[in-house]
Amino acid sequence: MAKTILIVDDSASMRQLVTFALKDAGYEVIAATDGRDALNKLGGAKADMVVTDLNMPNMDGIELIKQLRKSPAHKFTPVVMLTTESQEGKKQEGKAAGASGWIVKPFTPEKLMEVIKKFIR
Amino acid sequence: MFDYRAEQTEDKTVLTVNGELTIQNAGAFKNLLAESLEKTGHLVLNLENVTEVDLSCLQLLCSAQLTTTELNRRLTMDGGCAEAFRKAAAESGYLGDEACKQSPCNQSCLGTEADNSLGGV
Amino acid sequence: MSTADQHREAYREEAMELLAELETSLLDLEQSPDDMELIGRIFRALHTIKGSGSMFGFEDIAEFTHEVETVFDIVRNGEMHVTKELIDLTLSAGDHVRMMLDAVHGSNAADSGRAGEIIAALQKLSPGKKGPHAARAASSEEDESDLLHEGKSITCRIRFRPPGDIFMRGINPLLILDDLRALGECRIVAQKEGIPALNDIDPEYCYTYWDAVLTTDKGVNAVKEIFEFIEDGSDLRIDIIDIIDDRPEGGHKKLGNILVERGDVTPDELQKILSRQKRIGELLVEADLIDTGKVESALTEQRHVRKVQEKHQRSETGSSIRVSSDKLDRLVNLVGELVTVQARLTQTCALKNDPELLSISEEVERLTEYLRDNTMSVRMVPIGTTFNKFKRLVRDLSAETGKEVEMSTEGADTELDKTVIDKLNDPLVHMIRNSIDHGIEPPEVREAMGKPRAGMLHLSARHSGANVLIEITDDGAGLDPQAIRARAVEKGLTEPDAELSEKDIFALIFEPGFSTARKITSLSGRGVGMDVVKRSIEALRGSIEISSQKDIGTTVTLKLPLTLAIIDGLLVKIAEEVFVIPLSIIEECVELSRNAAANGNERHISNVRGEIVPYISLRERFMINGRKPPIEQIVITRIEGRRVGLVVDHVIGGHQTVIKTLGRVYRDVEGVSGATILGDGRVALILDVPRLVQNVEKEAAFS
Repeated sequence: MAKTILIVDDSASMRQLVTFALKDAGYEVIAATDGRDALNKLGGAKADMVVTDLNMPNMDGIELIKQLRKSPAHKFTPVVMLTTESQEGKKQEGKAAGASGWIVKPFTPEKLMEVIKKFIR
Repeated sequence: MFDYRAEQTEDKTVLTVNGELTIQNAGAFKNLLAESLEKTGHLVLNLENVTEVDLSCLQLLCSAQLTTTELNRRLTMDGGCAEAFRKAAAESGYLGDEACKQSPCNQSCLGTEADNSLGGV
Repeated sequence: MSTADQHREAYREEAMELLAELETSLLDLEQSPDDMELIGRIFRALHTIKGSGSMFGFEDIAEFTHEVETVFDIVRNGEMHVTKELIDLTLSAGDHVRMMLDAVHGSNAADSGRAGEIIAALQKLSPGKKGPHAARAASSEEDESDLLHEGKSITCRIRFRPPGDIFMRGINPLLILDDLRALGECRIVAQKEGIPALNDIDPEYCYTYWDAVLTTDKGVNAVKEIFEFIEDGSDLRIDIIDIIDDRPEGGHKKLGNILVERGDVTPDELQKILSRQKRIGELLVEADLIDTGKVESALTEQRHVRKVQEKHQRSETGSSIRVSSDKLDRLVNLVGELVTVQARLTQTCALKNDPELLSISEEVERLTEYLRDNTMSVRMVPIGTTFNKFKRLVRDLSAETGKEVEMSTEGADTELDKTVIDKLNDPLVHMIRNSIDHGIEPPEVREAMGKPRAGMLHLSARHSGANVLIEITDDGAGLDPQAIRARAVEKGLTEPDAELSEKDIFALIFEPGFSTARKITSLSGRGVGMDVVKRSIEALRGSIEISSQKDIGTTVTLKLPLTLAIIDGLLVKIAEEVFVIPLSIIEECVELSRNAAANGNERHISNVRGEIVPYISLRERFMINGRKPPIEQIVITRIEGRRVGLVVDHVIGGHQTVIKTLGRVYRDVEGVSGATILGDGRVALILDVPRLVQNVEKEAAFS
């Protein structure tokens, strides 16, 4: 059964890029525009992994991670953050919140797959 | 998800567990093991139809073995060795090298590979 | 539009929207400069433009926007106030980004000087600009350690204790172990001493830690990378304990040393224990200094290193070595001598009839045979590399001729003697060239005929007994027997009224003088005729055959001996002279009665079970004196599909011999391809039967 990955990013082009790469690799993809949207979408479905941006309106990535770690269904789900080089502080915050890993933008689809393979197989 | 069936006879309880013994169910599995051990002098575990096993499950089995020894009871394995189980045991380094087979925990809770079962104290 | 272009376009649209939003927010901010939500929105817009820009190849936009974002980060942190100047500058920054986006789209290039001005002005506004590139430096120091071990196999000892809440971080420790195993030979022992009883256990906590020994050639950084995401909370030690390149003489560490190195026991403790005489592992456990798990882990490391070192030594000896072909030739020669001596030994022993001697001789015979086969196999190489070379040739030729050709190969792993393969190259090139030049039709012609546009060229090699068959098949125009025949008549190669089978006709193209550059047949070459090809193949003791169907295609089949060095031959005797006839061409041996010989004496024609077979008397041919025996033998061979007899006095029997090339003086003797030494030390000539027949025919034609 194909694993499901949730991609959370407020940038439509990023969602498109990541969705495309993941589907290409055979994953089911759910896309959400921010943390709140993500939690709503996870209400009815379970993701095997979450890839999230950090800076987003309504609910940012850090808060999303905290919420996921509190939820019984996604307490142990791998969550990877999309960061930029200048966000060292945010990265630490995310790790403290329970992020599993991170990918620094810009990244290639190959790098994305490499990181995903570290968490789900 | 996992489910189980307990069959009680005069001298032992056979606990057959099906499904996923992963971190997601670790709490429930722990409770099941603890309660079952309390009720019987000889607990027989049948994990033949377990579909997924991770480290949390192996830790719990080790712990259960320790508990059995402390309570002066018996814990044995019945049925064949599920592929998922064998895989996790090998991947985790719980079972694999000569070294491991000699350690007291393995001899009891994971058995030897030769008899293809997990059991035998 | 490619996917990359699609993504870029999506980004462009999105960035335009974000810029519009940025503008609105900036104008609103002018009205309420303390609205943190507005500031957050502006920051996010800039952040997305930057972050996504770098993803889609708009590095210039990312770089520029980053500077603006940095200023708004300061504003967001409350370290700077919103001023009209800031809003003005940010608005023009937005305009500039829009220009940069348009520039990508084909409009006028954005003015990079303008970007500099905006950034300089923004930086002047901000108090003490924070360096954005802080995170970069971290990786450089790690890289150095890898350089030290470049290309070498390192063995590391890894102790990895993950954070107890690893599960809560969404990380499956088993996958980390799996990644370690993927790097190389790896042994992992789980340490389970920390696992409490069920009453005390937190089922979601990780109590296990691991000792691993890994040998990898990927470098230590690859090992560290595996722990990238978990490093912080983990207790992780990676020690390089062995670098294989630097260790000429292997030697694994003693268990005690390993434990001391790991800090599990002190050297003093070890020394005390060592003074007693017991196995060290048992002693340490007995002394209650460490638990069995640690000893086992150390033992595992010892075994691992030992195994890796053994493997390393094995692989060193097991790998291939280059030997000059001279040395191989010398070896083959020596084996040849040995085979000869062995034959003599066998012969002598048979005469002596001493059972003990016989058994020794048989043993020697068996060993010699092994040795010979082994030596020959050393010279065998797969034909695949030669096939591969032709891929390029086919590609070039099809480009040159404007034809589309698809080449396929089969049996690339078929092995042939190195010498044969080397000498095969030119003839094969010639035939492939012919197939493409004249066999395969231009794409339009093919289409008109209902064939696929691309012509097919198939090279195959396979074993067939002691021979290898190589086939070159094309699905081109095929040969036209009528045209070939006409051409051959014109050249005086055949009589106009000769009765020729199709096979005979095709054989004509191998005649010297047949081929010219004129395009008569699909196989006429470029000055070099098929006769040259045929001669090269025959020089390899092989044969060549053509089958073809007009408009369907042509197949050329080469039959080659596995090796040039050995020949399965039939020993025949004329007076005291012994000759070898290659067994591969022999069909049968029959008696030639005086009567039959006398009947057809003039014409040298015998009647073998009703079939007329021409023959050559070797006695006459080689001018050997002496009386003919009352009954001569005739060895019937098949040369180019025809049966030809060779008349000899006696047939001695089969004989596998090592071929010796003749010295320079005899090199040009026609009809003889080499010599071999017999068991009794005499020299026997190996007959080149096709050449012999050819010469006799030529002489007959002129007489």
